[in-house]
Amino acid sequence: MVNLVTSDNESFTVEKAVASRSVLIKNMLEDVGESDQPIPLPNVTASVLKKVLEYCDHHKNEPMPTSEDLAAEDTRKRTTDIGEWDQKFIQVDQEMLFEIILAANYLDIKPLLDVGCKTVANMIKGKTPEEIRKLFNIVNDFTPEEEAQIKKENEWAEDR
Amino acid sequence: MRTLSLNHIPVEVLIESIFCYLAARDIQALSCCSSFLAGVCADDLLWKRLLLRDFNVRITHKIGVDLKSIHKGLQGDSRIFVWGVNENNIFWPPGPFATISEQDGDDRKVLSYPHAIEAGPQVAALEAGATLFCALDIEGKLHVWGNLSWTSFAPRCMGRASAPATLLMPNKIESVSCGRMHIAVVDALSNIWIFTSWESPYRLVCPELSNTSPETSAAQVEVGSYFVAVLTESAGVYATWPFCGPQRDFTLSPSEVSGAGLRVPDDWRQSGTFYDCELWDAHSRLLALPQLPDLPPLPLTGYGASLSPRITQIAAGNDFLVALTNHGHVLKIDLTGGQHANGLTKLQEKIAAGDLGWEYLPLFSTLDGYENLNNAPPFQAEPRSALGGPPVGRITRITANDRMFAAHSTGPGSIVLMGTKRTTSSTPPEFIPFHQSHFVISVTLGDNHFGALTSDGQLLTWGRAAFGALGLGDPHSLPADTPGGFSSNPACASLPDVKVPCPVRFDWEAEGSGTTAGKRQFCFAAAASGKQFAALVLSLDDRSS
Repeated sequence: MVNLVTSDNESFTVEKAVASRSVLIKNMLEDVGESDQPIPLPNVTASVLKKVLEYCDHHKNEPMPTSEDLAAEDTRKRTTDIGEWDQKFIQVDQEMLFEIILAANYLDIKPLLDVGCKTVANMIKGKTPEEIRKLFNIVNDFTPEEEAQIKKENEWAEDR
Repeated sequence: MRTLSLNHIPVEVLIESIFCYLAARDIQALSCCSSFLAGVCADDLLWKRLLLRDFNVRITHKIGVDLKSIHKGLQGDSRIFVWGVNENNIFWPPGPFATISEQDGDDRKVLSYPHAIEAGPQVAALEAGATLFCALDIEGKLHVWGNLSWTSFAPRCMGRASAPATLLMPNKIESVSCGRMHIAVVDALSNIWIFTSWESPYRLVCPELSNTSPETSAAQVEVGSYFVAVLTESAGVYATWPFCGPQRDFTLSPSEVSGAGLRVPDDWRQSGTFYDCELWDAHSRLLALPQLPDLPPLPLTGYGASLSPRITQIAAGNDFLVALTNHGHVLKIDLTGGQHANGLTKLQEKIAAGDLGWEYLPLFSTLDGYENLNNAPPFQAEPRSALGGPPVGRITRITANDRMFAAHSTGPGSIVLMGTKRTTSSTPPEFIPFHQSHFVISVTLGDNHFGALTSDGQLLTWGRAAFGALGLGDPHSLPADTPGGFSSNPACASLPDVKVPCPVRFDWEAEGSGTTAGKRQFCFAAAASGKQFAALVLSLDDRSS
């Protein structure tokens, strides 16, 4: 078992197979060897780690993506399709969605990062700038001149 | 409590894991949201990925405009221009030909300036062989026209495609290399297909290229006159002569590869301008080319200087191969005789005996000798100030055609060094002078006419002006003694060669029509064939320059 300690000082004891879905933790465990020492995760809060571990537990028996898999991954062949369980798992509020993305990036859990990022991509698809701003609470910091200019520059894209 | 939004996500995650899933119009909508997102969405790394995804365009070098503009240009008005002599009806439909009397007394029908061919497929890459052109479109379909005349072995033999025809293959085509007798393409599953006739490609099947490891995966395929050379991802080089000689080094069977095939629009089926390719597998023997010899350290190797030299690029001539290492060493190997009976075995024996190996070409590998440009013969008549800065960096690209090869550097004051199949370690290169500083990004070689594409979208041509192959304009209309024009010396009847590369104009036909008003003609790809040229030109808004 592995003991993980979050930024808000909560402890989680999980199976090694679950914790090792994180390449960061897997490498730490390999570097340190057998040890009872808790692993500090200063960039992850307890509420987020709980959710991340739920994902890792569900996928613990799946083969890890190999470096060849990652190298062979081609932008052209990727789709934003998400598996059924993952879709339900990622139905969280926007704050948690971004927290999961940040945690997956920090902990190096590529499949989870993909699930989060594809969800964000699907939220953006087909929306107008105003709709995107509203959706993500983005402040329009352009001057009217800058906004006119950038709109003019971005009038060309078709369906591609 | 903080409120997270897109601007809290690391930029590399935004680009690599979120934005790369979006369509260009979604990226544009994001650009208009905030200055932070506008900055991320303008990143060339993102557009490099989108160019590959959307247009099958692989950007391998820095070019002079932002990649977003190229994406935009490819969505809009991109056209193929052709020029040169109308040999074997290589041009379709017949263009505004002029008749030019050549030195041999014959009158030739030529296009002496770039002529835009009718709207066709949305092309992403162009390649040329001696008498043919290949265009790869944005969907990975291969369009061909011209002559593929090698008929000694072809189960079904279709020589000429006078109008562009589409070769229907089971998978997307990702790259193409053209030779005099055959072409080779690599598909999305890394299969290497060789065409000796337009409609019967053979897949190269051999354990050395099983595509199961870097050692057995092709990184680059190059076609010489008789051979096909393959550079693997682990920097090994193989050659094969699958179609030559009375004792062929291969066996043939109907291909195991099948696929749903590419969608064929109905109008193609009706017009018959496609070949539904009959696929074969050629179980071939390969010649493993020797290891690199000991190579001297080169100055200015920059990043990776501590790594051992390894071959990163190959270029195939008629019966020789040129290689470039990660340090900038240029080497050549003579593969003469491989096409003859037992040729592969004989070359194998020569390699084993140490009688055949890569010859290092020091004079093509270092730019040291070119610091004092005025001493180089072509510059004696050129004022120093008219030239670019001293060449810097190292040789980064090589190319070859039938009997010549070129090695060039990129960056300001980039230089082009040319050699032939007879070049040895002591042969000085032919050094190509430029009128001003140019970032050359690629070089293409015809029989006697040559072209250099620059990062700012110019195509510069030089060499033999006959046959209109330089595309510099109608010699009858050009003032005497201008590049591409006749000499004012009455004793000189034929068109003088052009020694210093000159920019090709793509607006001859648009002059007066206003069709390019406010647009910049950006040459994106160019390919010289035997006596012709083809170029892919995008119209970019002026503001993108």
